[in-house]
Amino acid sequence: MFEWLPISKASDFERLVDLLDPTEYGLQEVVDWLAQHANDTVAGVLVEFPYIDKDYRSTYYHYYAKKGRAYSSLSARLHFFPKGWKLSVNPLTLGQPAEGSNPIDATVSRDYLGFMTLRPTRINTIGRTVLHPSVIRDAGGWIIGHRHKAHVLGHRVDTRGFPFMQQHTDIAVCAHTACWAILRHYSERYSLYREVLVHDVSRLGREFDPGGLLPSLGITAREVERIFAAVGTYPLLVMRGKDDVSADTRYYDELLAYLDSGFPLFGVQSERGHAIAVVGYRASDLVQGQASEYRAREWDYVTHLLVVDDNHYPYMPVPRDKQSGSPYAVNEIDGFIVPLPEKMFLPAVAAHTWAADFKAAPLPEFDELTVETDLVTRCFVTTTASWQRFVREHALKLDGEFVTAALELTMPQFLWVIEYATPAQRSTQQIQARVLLDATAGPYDPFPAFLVHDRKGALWIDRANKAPMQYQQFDKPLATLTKMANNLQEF
Amino acid sequence: MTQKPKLEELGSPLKRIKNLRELDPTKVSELESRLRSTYVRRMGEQAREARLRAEKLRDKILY
Repeated sequence: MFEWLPISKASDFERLVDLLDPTEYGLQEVVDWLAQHANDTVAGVLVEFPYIDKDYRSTYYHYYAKKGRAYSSLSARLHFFPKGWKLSVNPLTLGQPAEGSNPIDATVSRDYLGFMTLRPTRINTIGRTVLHPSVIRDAGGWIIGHRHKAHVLGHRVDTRGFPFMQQHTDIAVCAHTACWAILRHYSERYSLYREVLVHDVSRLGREFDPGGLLPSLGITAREVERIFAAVGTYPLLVMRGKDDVSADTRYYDELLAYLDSGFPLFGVQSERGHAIAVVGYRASDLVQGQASEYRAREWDYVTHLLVVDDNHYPYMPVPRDKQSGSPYAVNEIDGFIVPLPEKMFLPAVAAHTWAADFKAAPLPEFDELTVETDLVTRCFVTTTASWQRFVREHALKLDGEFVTAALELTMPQFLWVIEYATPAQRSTQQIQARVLLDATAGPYDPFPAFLVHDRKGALWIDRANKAPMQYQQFDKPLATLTKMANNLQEF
Repeated sequence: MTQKPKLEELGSPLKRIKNLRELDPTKVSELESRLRSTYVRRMGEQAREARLRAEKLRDKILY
């Protein structure tokens, strides 16, 4: 059955209690959550019941069905739409009165704002949810996301977002939920990784079957590494150093470099024993923090991390330092685990360290790196395919022979990109110079680069053909160099 | 009629760039030597510290 719930003000969500069992689906908590976190982009909710949710069913089969209290096997699902959409009956169709009924899938997808499943567990009932960031109050910034599909009234639709759910508290706690969110993003984004349901996540971390009471007692970071490894990723655990200032700086450089590469991070708050998924960031044109802490890195401009926290809501902004209204600050996230692909042998700390050392005394051909004393360094991973797409898209602004060589040079699947920009260039999405590092190089290779280029010329290193370093001076200097920004999307 | 070389015999694609010059090997050697004494040395030190710190985090219980 489907029912349409028009929304013109936050209190309209309360009408959900007329459509579903308020106790079983914990509707008061859901209504409060929606009233607090959904903004006025949502003008209508299509309520679907019954809905068979694979993630809830995985916990129902292995846990809720064994309980003395009766739990339903059926979930409900809410689909969110903006202004202009409504449900017609006889025949049952979604439509926009202004554009006629029975639209094509692409028209529905264009406006579809995502879905939220409700599981019949009485408490913490918000299950598998993917909401477009535009739905959430105060969610702006650069966000990792992918298009998640849903089937609605015969339409195959999708929306861009990152998975979210509340923790079950018993069969899955915060760490399981953060793992689930990251792994669901991976299985939807990359065909390489299999889909893992909530109950699978609760089992993958242990050598034995962790049934009964065990999942509710939590898991260790070591078990989180096992969960990520079990589905074919290569988790790297990084903890913040408290010994000296440079160790602290390195930690945030690393965190941002992986995040800016499009890898969601499993964030650890070791004092609280809490875990979250870090999925984006918000940056400013102004330096954040104390002037004495300024290191001319991209991190110096980050104001917030955006996290998916099972105790709160998706894309929640977390400020650098504790502020009123914010449950915690970035400086309380003192470790993270990044599930990397296999062919990533050079860590972020190596890319940042190399970038700083090269900038300190570059080759004479790149003397502008020393002339411009205030260059801000940004490091991130891209694929050779993405790099070549970027070159093709900007081909008309680049040197012709440079474009040809960039498209033909043999490189591995993953590359570290280093971009240097003055603060003025940075605020206009321009850069001074760019380096491509071989992400398959070891950290003991002193010059792991394939390419260094600025507006005047390019240093080429054809590592696959063991060719010596060769410099190409462009026929005429390029007008500008554009920043690469293809891993995260700005909302 | 001259036969075209096979793709595998073409070697580096950089050959297509006309205005290409090899860098002074002394300058390259100096740069690599400097990076060995800064970047490579620091990577060794940082790897040891990072391993120790990660081990402290591994047994933290998250709930």
